Amino acid sequence: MKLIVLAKSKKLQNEIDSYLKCITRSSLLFFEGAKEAYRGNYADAEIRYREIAELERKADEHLKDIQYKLYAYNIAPDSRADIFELLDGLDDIVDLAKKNIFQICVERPAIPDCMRGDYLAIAEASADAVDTLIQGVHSFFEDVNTLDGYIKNVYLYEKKADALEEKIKRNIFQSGVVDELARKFQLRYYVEKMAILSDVAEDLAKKMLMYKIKRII
Amino acid sequence: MFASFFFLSSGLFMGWSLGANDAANIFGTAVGTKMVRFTTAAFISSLFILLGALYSGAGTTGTLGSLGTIKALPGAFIVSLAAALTITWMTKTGLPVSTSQAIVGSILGWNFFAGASTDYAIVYRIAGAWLFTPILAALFSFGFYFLFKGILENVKIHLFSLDWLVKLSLLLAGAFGAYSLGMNNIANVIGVFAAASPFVDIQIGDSHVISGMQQLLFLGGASIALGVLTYSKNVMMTVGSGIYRLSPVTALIVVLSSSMVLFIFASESLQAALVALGLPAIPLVPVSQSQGVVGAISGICVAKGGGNVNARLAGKIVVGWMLTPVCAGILSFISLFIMQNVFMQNVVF
Repeated sequence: MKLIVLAKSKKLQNEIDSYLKCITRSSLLFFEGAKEAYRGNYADAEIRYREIAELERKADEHLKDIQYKLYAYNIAPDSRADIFELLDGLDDIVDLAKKNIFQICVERPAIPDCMRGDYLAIAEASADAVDTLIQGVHSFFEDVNTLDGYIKNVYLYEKKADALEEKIKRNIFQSGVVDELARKFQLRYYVEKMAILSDVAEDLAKKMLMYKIKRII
Repeated sequence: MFASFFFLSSGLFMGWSLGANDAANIFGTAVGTKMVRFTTAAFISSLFILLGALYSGAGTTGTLGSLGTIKALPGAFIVSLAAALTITWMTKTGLPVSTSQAIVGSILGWNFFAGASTDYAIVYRIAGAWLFTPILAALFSFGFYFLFKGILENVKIHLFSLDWLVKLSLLLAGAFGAYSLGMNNIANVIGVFAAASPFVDIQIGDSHVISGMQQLLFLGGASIALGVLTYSKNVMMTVGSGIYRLSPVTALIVVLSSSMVLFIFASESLQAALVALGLPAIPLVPVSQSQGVVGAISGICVAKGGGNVNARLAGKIVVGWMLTPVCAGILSFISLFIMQNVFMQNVVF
């Protein structure tokens, strides 16, 4: 009986691992896409966008399978609900990565040279936050006692993204580098779009901490 | 024959209500949180309660028998009925009530009515066991808390494997809990009928005999099992999701701790082993599983460093301790008087 249960659990673990790979890869592609777009290589950015779109499709398929297996393999309802809520929340990361890269490719915002580095740094902090979050999700499943370290690091990356967001916004509106109001608004919009992945990662890290508290005795 | 079964009915009712209520202490959280299906819990509870009653229920039954030997079946009927009515009334008033305390009070009522002498050494032993039930359960849960915490913090275990292990442990602890409940609390159901049993020994083949006592234990165990099967689902769901919400691992600790207390106060083998080692014998006394559960939860609260043991609840338990046997004793005395003088039944001999 134990072997059957473990074999089923292994299948579910593999499915979750594949799903998590999709999320990590999508955040890396988001960073790569943003880098290409800010360098003006929109064709390469479009390729990244299509890759993310394909990952989104795969992630959705994995998520459906995971949902089915969580019920079929009779995982405890409390754990099942927490796991599904967490994994469903991770799906937002792929969606946002795809949507944001698509908008950059379509709108092609003209980012002043002096701000380009900061924009990329925000995208990188967001990608790092997601990458650390996924490592935390692995530890949530495999060794919950090491989870806190990952959560702290997600918070650090989110703070870094927040600080950069504030710096760029001040530059946009107070430095005089950008004149037109419409352009100022567009640049501010993209700062927020670059930082949003780190915000989602932080929210999920907080939720994961709650799930951990529920698990400990 | 019909009259004999009629007089046994109060004991069977007691068994049925015990099964309906106390199975929730064993499997309430597991079923309420849907870790274990009700049908699985009910089957395991019924089976192991019956086994516990049949194979190890004689110890506590003997203790109640030595407290008061009721030889008239109508008398045993009234004693059991008075205890059952006291439980019903006190449950309605919201006081935590123990079947064990009600039946002991009721037997003492019979002793006073019949003018039989009461062995106060046994009364003190029983009262001591009641006092130590929540304390022992708290000590066990305190120890188990740190043991489980240490394991969970130091052993790298996947969430799904942990989930499976906790489920399995809840089933095993539930089986142990049900066995302990059967062996300890069967005395509350059939203890007063032991000396007035209408059953005669049944000879099977040349060598095997099913004694009247065994038949009585089986009937009592079956009535508890019937209570589990027919009426415990709602109580389990209420305990599991309504009154207090425990995590599955905490529930496991509570079930283990309270069941160990019931086991200790009912195991003749353990008593014999202690005596053989020259240690003082643990009295075989029917104790309250609900009070064991309250003690176990308090032990975990203290272990967590909260120290927030609900003083009001503790006060209510103490009031319940004192009121239950007194009320049951008075009701038993009055009911015996009515049975003897209005219904003209011999309740003493």
